Amino acid sequence: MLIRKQNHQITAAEIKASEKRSRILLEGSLDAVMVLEPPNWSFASGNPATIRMFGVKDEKQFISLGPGDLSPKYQPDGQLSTEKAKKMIEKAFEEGSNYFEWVHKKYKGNEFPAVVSLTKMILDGRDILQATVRDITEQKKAEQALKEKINDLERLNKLMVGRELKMVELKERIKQLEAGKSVVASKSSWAQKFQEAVDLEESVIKSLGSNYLGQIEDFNLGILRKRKIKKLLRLLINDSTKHEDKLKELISYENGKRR
Amino acid sequence: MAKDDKVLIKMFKDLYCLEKQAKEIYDEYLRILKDKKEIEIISSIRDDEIRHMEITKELQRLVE
Repeated sequence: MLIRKQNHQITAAEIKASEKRSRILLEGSLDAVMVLEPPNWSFASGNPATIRMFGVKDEKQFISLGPGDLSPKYQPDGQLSTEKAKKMIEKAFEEGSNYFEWVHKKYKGNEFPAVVSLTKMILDGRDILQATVRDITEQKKAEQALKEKINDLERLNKLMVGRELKMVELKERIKQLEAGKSVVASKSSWAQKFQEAVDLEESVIKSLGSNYLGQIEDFNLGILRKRKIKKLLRLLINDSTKHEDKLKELISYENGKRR
Repeated sequence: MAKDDKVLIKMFKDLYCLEKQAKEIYDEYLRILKDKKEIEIISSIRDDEIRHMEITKELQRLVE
């Protein structure tokens, strides 16, 4: 092969040194780098990271496989991997390169998410594609964890807003009751005051049920602590229900006295 | 996690305040009420509210 650079002939030693540098770069790369050749776009070579990434024995075994052997039947968008791979290769060919996400599969192993960069190159006068594949399993996990965290925060926010609304409602009732207590005797009958207390107890029961007991599972507490908290909350609900009954009894009693 | 715990502690503190306010309201009723039967019933409710205040403290401790 005759290679010229700036009008002087590169020596065999220079070529050898250049090849050595390229080999070191390829072999030391953490990304899988491979070459695909026409007409079938089968693998022609792969660096050590490729061998590790796809869980094959060696380069010989790797080049005996086609891209279809290292992808699931379908990609997440529902397209057949073989059909989509053709489209991706065509695009790289037309545009010179193509960068996309792909789900790969280890040889006889699990699937893993990856990003693939296809670059059109010319080797010995022939068009080839160099593919660089990076396993993004950890990145996807981090994205998922972030997504879950955001969902948690949104849920917590909803919880807080709901809780605040209930609390505002409860505090409003207390306020009304407190405003009324200074004029207990003169402005309202005891039946009315007891009714206000019934309303208060009802609000407390509702809040304890839906706002506390109903949402305790949303908190990150141990099973035993949650169980104990639920037990105590149920006790409060039971007591408030009894209070409600007793107050209703007092309302009847008051009404009876007036007749 | 830790943030959730703080939220829950705040909720139980609010609950404690409500129980305390309820107890004070029943105290006020007792100050004015004259009827023996009514005093007896409201007293028992008020005593429960005192117990509820202790329970809400216990709830806070469970989360802390």
